Amino acid sequence: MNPAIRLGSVSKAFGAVRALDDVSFEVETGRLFGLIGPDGAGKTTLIRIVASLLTADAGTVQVLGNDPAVAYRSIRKRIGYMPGRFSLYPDLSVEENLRFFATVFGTPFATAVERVRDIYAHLEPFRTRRAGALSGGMKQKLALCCALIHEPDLLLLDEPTTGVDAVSRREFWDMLAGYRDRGLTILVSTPYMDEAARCDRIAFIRDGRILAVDSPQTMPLRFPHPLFRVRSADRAALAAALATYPHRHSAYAFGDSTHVADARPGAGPESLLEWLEAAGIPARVEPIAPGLEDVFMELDALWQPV
Amino acid sequence: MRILRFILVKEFTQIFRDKAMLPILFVLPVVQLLVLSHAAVFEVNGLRIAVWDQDRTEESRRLEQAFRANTYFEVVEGVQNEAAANRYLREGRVNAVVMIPRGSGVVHVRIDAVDGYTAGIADAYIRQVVASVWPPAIGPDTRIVSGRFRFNPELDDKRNMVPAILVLLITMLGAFLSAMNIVREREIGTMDQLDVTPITRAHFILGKLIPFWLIGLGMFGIGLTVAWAVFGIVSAGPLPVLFGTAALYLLSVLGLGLWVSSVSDTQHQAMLVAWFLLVVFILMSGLFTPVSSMPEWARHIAQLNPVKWYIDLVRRVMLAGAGWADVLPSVGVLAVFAVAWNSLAWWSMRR
Amino acid sequence: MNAIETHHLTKRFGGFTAVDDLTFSVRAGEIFGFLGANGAGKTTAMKMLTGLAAPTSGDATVAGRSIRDHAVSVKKRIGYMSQRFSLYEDLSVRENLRFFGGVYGLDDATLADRIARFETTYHMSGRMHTRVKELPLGIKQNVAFGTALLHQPDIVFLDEPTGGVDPITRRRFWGMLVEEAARGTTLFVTTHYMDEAEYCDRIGMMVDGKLVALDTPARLKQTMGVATMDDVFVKLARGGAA
Repeated sequence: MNPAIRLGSVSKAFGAVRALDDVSFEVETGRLFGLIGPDGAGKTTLIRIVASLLTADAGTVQVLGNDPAVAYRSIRKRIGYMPGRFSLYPDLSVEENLRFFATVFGTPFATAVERVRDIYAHLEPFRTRRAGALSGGMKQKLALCCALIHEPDLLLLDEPTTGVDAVSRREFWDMLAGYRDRGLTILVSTPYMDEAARCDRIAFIRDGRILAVDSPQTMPLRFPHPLFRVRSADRAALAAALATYPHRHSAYAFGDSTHVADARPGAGPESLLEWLEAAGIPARVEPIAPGLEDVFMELDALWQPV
Repeated sequence: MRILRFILVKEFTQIFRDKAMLPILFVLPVVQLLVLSHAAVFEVNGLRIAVWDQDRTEESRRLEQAFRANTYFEVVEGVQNEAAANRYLREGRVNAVVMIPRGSGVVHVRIDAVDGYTAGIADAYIRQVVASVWPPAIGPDTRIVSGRFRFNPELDDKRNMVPAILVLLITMLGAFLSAMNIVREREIGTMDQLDVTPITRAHFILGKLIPFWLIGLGMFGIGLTVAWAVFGIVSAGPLPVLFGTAALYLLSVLGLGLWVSSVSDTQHQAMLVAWFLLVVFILMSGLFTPVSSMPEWARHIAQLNPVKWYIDLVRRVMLAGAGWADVLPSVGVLAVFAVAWNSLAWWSMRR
Repeated sequence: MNAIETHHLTKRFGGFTAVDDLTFSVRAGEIFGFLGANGAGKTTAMKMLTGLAAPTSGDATVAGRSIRDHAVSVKKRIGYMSQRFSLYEDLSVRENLRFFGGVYGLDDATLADRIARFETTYHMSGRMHTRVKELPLGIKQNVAFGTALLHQPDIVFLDEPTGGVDPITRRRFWGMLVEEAARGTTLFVTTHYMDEAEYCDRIGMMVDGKLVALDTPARLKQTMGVATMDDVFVKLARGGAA
């Protein structure tokens, strides 16, 4: 089967700013694909190119088998797009917004509701409330309904969960997984690693370049160093001691602990423990398997902007 | 005081950093004065009339000649029957049709009264021309009244208009700028930040009022300079009276703007409300139609209109040379407006 | 010594109780994570503690002063940073600092000194005259934090300070928070991201206007028998809603 999205050496510049630089990857049909990167990495530009709202300066773009720059009319009927900023009518009610989008795509309202039944179930109690007065999580669910009303083959979501609480975020991702299981292809951008872990495949993007594409399960294997979790009651003293640790490759705070990577391949926790003891810091050191965030930090540190 | 200083520095920096601001402050007054004072002239010139002469006597031709010779009129050709007369009027191609029926010794005039003001003037002018050429048509009681007009002997509309436009200028500037300002802080979210600082409501309101107050007075000065440089209009009354009353008037206008701002959620809303209020104030200010010719209820409402009061006051000072003593009652009224609107703003800004 | 103490703090809007009989304390120098779903009452509670809204009943002392009786003097002792980066985008970094420092009543010498220190602490040399709107998101965040600290408040309230920010920038930001807390400043933080909750010394969790849990992240995970703060949050939030 053809991939739903195929990008080959796509570049896009806005004046002197290179928003995308030689970006290539594929999104297979029926997959949930995550685009992970910081603010200003080019995530929005990439999604807008796929959505046929922007054209690339160079490279090839294929969306659902067609070039969005040419076949944008037919492609727009087959994609659902949820922009990063809340883009529904805040002064219309939940139901009025849905009716409007159903009308735009020529779908009877009853059919439209049937298609998004499980999400709409969450919204139904607030049917008459103005969209602007909904909570962050409810807004996103409504926006998702509106993007799915015409049964698209490809769903594009640009940072859909910013400002949404943890429970609603989890529900939102459960919904995405449900639609993926029913065959919908989804491209979603996010700056959050816990969300990245819920994708089938992820691409790390930074300064318009793709750093790596992999599954969230195998991505951490790319981490090249032994990694230790260090815990100590005195965080400030620990940070000071780690700053001068000779075998330190990197040390990043993760909540109440610190992840320390040893520069020597195959190193154990002993030398680190000794170093901390010598510095008079009681600490617990345990080897851990690297996570997505460790890899992202590592790739980001290696990445040198051209 | 120290807090206020920092607020003022910030406000002025923001105002002058706004790219649209400098043109508004300096170009707007000049353009408004130059354009409006020429355009808003009440003298009616170039009245288009058709003369349908059925009589074709020497006398009727003399009348037609008189119209052609008069610079107030422009004679349009081609009306030689009833249908054409009606059509020309309906289509607005002529303001009036002057009909001289055969042998009757009278003149029939049909005037397009869509614009009643122009119609009235046209009627008066046509009567004068007819009277000068053809006394019998008017009747024995017609006399030419001669007299002298005071304060504006040439009845020069510009002398009358320029002060009014000056008032409009500072009214619009003051009301719009202040109406947009506070709501802007709310829209961009800095209001919350200010609310958690030790800034008090008095600091905040003064910080908003003072910059626009100074800018408004500056614009007033620029306007007076333009009036002098371009039209040679110099105030007959003392400048301190003009600026003193302008300061008071601006306070009331800014208070209105602040009130609009404090009850609006978006700049958009504030703009519409301010615009609506200003249109009503300006239309009912006596600038376009004299307040004295309004119906009684409208005249009462006009008393609540600061624009009307201040246009009247500035005209009194600039044209009639009124001093403090002469304008004291109006000053009192303006002071009431200033206190009322600023109190309203203060009250509705309660956090 | 407690930085914040609330006593039966309650706020009602008509028939709706947004904050219901809140009694807890925040120790001086700790990072206190204030969690809750959208609409749980976090924002309203924070508004009362920062003097933006008056309680319907109950009271709280913030930096040793009652928010009912001494709202203005409380405001002088706290800093505030919100998710919306409430700096003036059309002003430069320095102009923002001067303004906010000035309205907190710093004199010229102190202000100059603090601004110079800000410049080195946040590596802002060469960027002090840049307009805030031209700064990248991560830098804006630092500037907003530095601005909130300029008058050396006892307590800084941070309302979802990292919304929409990537892991690296967020980590740097939290590194800054940990350092600041080590200097003795109390930090009161709301967030939707449970990995961030792990940085906090203690967590208070709001559900439907009530405080349903208050403990260290480690003990919360332990008592609830779950592995992550995310699970703690979901369990508490769902439990409260049921």
